[in-house]
Amino acid sequence: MNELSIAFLLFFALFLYIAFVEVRIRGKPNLRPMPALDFLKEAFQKAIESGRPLHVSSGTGTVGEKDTAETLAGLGLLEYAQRQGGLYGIPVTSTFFHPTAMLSGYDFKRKFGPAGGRIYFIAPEKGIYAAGAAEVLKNERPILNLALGPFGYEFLLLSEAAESQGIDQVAGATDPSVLPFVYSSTEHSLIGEEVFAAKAYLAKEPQALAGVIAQDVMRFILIIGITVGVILKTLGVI
Amino acid sequence: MRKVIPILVAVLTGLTVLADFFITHPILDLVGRTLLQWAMIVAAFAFVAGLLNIFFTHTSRVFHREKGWGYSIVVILAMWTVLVFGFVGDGPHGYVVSWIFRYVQYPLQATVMALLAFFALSAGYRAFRRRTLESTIMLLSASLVLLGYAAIMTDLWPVSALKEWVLSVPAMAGVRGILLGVALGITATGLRILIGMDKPYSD
Amino acid sequence: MIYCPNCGTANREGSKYCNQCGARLTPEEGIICQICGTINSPENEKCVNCGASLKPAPPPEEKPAEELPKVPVFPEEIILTIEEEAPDFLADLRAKVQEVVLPEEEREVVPPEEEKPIFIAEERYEEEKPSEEEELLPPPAEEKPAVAVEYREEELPDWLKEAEEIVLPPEPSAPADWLKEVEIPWLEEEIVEVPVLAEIPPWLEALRPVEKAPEAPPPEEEAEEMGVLQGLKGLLKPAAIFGPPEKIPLRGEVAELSLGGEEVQKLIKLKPAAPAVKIKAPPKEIRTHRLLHFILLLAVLIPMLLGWPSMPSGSPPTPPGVEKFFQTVEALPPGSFVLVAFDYEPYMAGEMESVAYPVLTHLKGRGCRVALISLNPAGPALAQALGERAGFLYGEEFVNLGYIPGVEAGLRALGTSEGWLVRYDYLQGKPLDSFPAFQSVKGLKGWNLIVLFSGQSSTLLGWIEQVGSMVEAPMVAGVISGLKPYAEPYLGSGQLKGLLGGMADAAFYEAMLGKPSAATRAAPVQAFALLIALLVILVGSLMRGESHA
Repeated sequence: MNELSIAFLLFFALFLYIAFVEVRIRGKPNLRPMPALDFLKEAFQKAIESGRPLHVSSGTGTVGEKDTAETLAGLGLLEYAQRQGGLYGIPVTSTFFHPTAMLSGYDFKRKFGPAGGRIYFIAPEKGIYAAGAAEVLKNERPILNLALGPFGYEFLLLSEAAESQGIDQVAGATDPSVLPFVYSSTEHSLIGEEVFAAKAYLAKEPQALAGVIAQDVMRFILIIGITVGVILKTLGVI
Repeated sequence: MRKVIPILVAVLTGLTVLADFFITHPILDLVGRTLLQWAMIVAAFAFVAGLLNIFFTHTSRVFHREKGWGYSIVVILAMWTVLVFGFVGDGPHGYVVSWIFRYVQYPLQATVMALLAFFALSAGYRAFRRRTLESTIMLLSASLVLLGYAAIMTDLWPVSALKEWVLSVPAMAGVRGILLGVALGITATGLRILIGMDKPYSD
Repeated sequence: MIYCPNCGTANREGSKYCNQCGARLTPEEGIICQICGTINSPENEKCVNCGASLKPAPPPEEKPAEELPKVPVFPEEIILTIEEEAPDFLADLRAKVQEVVLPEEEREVVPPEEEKPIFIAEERYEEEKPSEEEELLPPPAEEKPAVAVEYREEELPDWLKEAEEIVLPPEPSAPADWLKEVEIPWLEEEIVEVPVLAEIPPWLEALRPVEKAPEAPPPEEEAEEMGVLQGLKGLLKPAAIFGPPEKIPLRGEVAELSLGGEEVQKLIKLKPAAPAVKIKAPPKEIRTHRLLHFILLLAVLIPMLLGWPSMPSGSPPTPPGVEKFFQTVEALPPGSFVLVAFDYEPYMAGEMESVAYPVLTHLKGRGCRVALISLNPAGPALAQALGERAGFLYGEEFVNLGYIPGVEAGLRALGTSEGWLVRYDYLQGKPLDSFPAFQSVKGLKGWNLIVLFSGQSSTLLGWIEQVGSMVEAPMVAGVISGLKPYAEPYLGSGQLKGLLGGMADAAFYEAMLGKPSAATRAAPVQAFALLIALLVILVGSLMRGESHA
């Protein structure tokens, strides 16, 4: 089993590298449309028009523990928002569940210039985080609530707080038990692996794009593997 | 050089911990565990930054009389209270802090969570009024499952059986698919950092 | 709702520009680029859009009078610094002006033809404001002239700045007689419209005799200048001869200008972050949702108070997971060691405690020795409270191992470590070796049963997948109802020997145990409320289609 895992990882890494080189040479590949992210661009325009800030939440996870990858996906989107905010003068307010993620927030803010907006560290307790972030939404009245990352049930508290104030939302989560909430309470939702593709889709960095391509190829390989396995098992070969 | 060293440290650390996962060797185990403990210690320092953020953000809110500044006073006071009692007296697991947890934080959180029922109703109501195919499917399956949960009152056989089927066949298949995609996404993110392609830790 | 000061259109709350005419609705904190109109943050020196420099003032002839109202409001610090940076001679001048201005000095400074209209325009803004704005906005009267002068300083060349200083003393004076005499028929109503003309400060009064009143009809020039670009002054004069052209209705122009004046006043008075006036009744949707919430509240409260419906006994069969769970615990010999994981957040405690409590009382009844552990920082405190409530004796019958950080990594470490991963207990901080009752268990070895109380899939799967393969002890799990579908496959595969999903299963467990408690009371109420919620949603979705579908 270990050997299989290592082989899988090595193959994944190899393909990641190939995809990276390929993207570098050939440029941006065609990605399947993601309406939620298209709406995000629209929302940035609205923010420029209105002068109201954006609110970004990178989820209730930690950098350095189990939810690191999802948290990084959320932070990637925050980075994108901060960069756009710096370019177009949109204030970006961010709320953080964990201070490790908050440090990245400060980093982006320092890098991408003074567009206003605040960084709120709330609390590393999910219920408290949701309540605190809802209060920030109420006080700062952002034009968009961008919540992407690892979320638990507290997601619903945050998104309904935004919804009740007529704040547009783009949200994404990976936990299957939270996805019904994401789908039903927000109009523009990213589900499952789309969360990881968000940054590639928006920022078009070759690294992120390579990740998406490699992910897709590995998925096909897995699907083929599973199908073949099922057939062989049914036929009684294995 | 200033660029290479952080990448080198990151990649080596990542590979060591990964190797520790796959290979059982006393030295590797020790190194791996030590690195993990360091990670926890470093993460703990982030909390100091977090505390400073809370203090300064809310102080400035109070100072500028921003909307809702009264709550900021409460936040600052609460922060200092817990902090002081955590340091002096009988420590973080001591009587005062435990008391605050049991009689303030815990009931407050439970209350916040109780609101979830209302919000879930709102969200469901809104989502199911969208006339799309997805919403209709979701409405049907949600109705089944809700009925199934409510069926503990009496034994509504077809409903319970249908609920079980919805949850264990189509829902589970979808969940497995999503989990697979998520796992691939996590692996891709990890690998990108591990091979030094993505550097979220540097400028 | 914000009403446009220009055309009166109602705009959405929070809008910045009018949807109808494009006029600015709210004061903006920032500098508007004179070239492209982009709003820049106050710190910017160059426009982010077109790169034009924001600081230096454009020459006056490029600046049409119409644009005056759009002039940026500077944050107070900038105004103050400008004030401080004003050259000494200006300060002197100001001091002199405060007393009485000498006519000679004026004449030096002011090229008579060009800037007169400007002060008059300036003056007019000040006049305009008290009439209309007063009730809405309590005026900090002293501030307004200063700021008006300041922003002018920013834009006008030096020679004009000095002239501006002179405008400062706001002594109202009687309308000049010579002005009243002038009659330009087509300008008549406009003169009425603009009361400023009637009031000329004394220093202007002083100017008059020198330049022979009848020769120059200043009001004419003035009116035209304000209405149109200053540079176009010459063009408009001929128009006066032939009568006003239809396309440029002077009234309109003046009205716009005066509104501009108000706007400037607003900007000055309200300060940058002034909130828009809002008195809004909750929109229909919010009212609907409040009604929904109220119905749900009643659906929970009323059955709870009435004690109806009650848990039916016997008729619904006990779910197989609950049955297995109960039998697994029942099979434990007295004195067994049980590791109980409390992996839920405090906010889930409402449901989870009603699941965990009957299990703990059962374990207590079987005479087990229990160690509590948590992958969640807040878990140990929850576990401690519940352990005490279930009647366990600390140190003898139960011990609290505290919090293991790192979820999966923590679990792996727990599985591979030789001794206790946690060295000290949570409550007393004593070394774990000092509890004689727990000498025979170490790490994950020696347990007879592992009970998981999980509120999150990550911790539940962590235990099952990481630890499940390492230990021989059977595992059972109690989860929140939302997690039940994810846990059920493991029940089927035998990795879990029992499963309690939420309040309803806990109620069945209590029924089997014969000790009805919180779950027995709450589960039927929950089921009833679920039915009501379902009904509400169905009615809502059938009633009529949604507009934004």
